[in-house]
Amino acid sequence: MTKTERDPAVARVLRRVPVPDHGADFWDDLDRRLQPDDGAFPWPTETDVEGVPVVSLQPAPPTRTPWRRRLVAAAAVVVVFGAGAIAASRRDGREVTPATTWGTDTTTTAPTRPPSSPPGSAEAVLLFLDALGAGDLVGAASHLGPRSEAYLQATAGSVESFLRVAEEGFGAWAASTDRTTTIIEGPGGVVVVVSGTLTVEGTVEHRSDAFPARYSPSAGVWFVEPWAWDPAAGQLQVSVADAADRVEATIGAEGTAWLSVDGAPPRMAEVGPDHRATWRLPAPLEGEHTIVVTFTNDITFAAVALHSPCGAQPPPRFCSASPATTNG
Amino acid sequence: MTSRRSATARAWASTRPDRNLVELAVAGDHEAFVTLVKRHDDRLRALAGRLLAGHHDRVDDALQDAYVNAFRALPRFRHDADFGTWLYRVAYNACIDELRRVERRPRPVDTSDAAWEWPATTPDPARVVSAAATAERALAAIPVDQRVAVVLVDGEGFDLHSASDILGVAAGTVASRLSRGRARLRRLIGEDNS
Repeated sequence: MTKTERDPAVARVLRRVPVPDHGADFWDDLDRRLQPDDGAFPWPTETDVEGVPVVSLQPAPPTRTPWRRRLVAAAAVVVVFGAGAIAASRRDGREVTPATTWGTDTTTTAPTRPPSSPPGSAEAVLLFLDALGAGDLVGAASHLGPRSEAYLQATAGSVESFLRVAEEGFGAWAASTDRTTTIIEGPGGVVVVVSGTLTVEGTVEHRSDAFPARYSPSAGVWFVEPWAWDPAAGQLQVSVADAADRVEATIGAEGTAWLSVDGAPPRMAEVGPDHRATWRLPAPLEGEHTIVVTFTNDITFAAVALHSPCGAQPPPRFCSASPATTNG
Repeated sequence: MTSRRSATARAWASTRPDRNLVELAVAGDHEAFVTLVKRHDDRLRALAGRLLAGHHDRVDDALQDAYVNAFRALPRFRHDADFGTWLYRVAYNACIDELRRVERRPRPVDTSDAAWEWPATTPDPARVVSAAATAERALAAIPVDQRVAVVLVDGEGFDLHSASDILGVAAGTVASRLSRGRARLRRLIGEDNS
């Protein structure tokens, strides 16, 4: 044996040395010490990766509704408008027509430097959904971004167990024969909206789901972030006013929200201390539309898609939804 | 079901390269950073537990400092370097700092205690405990520079080159410390004739 080889006798001794387990609060303490609002701790600032939002681990994860119940709830709350103008969509990545320009009240302008259009984001979302539908949880997990991973680990206990449940919901997209994807670029990342006909638990419905996605330059891949949420902020709730001329979003946090109708460039709105953003539409919505609202701050990257008509039921004509019902 | 879960968990962990997580962490994503350190935590905890032999109450403090220091220093991390090796060095430095705080003078070690006896191979619980105590006390009794060389090479399986990278000293220096550390450890556990 040379000096560079492992000495088996010494290695045996070392293996006998007890290694203490983590203290009960070890990871919570570390999480707290890494928080940006800890005045004693400076954040690393050398580079920026497209304004990465972060999901923080929360010590008291919220109770999650079983997937089947959420699905039923989604079918119940998402509502429809009448008929009308249609806009931009893509069928699995192919571009179609651009959309209308919309007005807003509490808005600033759209971002001046949007990221380049990334068709790979839609491919990643579809691969994620197809893997879920096929029961390939490892494959699905490989497309999932680190923020969603962190949230699921914090709230559901493990990514795998949650994805196994999600097979029944998002996985239904794998069997959709008419699904289309629309890519909307906004601050903080890209949202891929998947629309089409789904058969879930024997019920056929037309639905839209919004999937945040982020590109990792180093890995050269897109990650899907359906659950990049902050449990403390609660759900992103979106509703359309009775007159269908106003869209409102609420969430228990401050940040930036944006609205896109039918894939049009997003309209920004700041969500302040009132935890609310409102967009006034230039004309009441009529006909079929897909409304996407996204909220971002330094913790959350959540998106909600409302498709209309979203059911065969008559009014209420106002849509409302949250990621917990439509995305998770 | 258990094996499937384990296989899935392993596959899941392998899907995210360190480099990608480092990039996210540098951008301020502390969750990406926590994911990253959890990937290396078992080995770093073993390193800290052995370097801080006799001071196990300090292991959590040392690792906390190591991880916070690593997060703070991430912008200076060279991406062509191995993150795990770099993290070892940060953890090593944190352990040394912790030792300096708590062990200004080496504590006397009673080598005549019956607990130094090498245990039989029969897994008698009492003897296993005794073996653990023996090993820990022996490790705690050798100088830190020799201890860390032994821990890195014989405990963690690093070669001399990697160990010298972690410790910031020449490979020859690591080899010398390793040789002396091994000899001393064997003598303390009564295996110098093996």
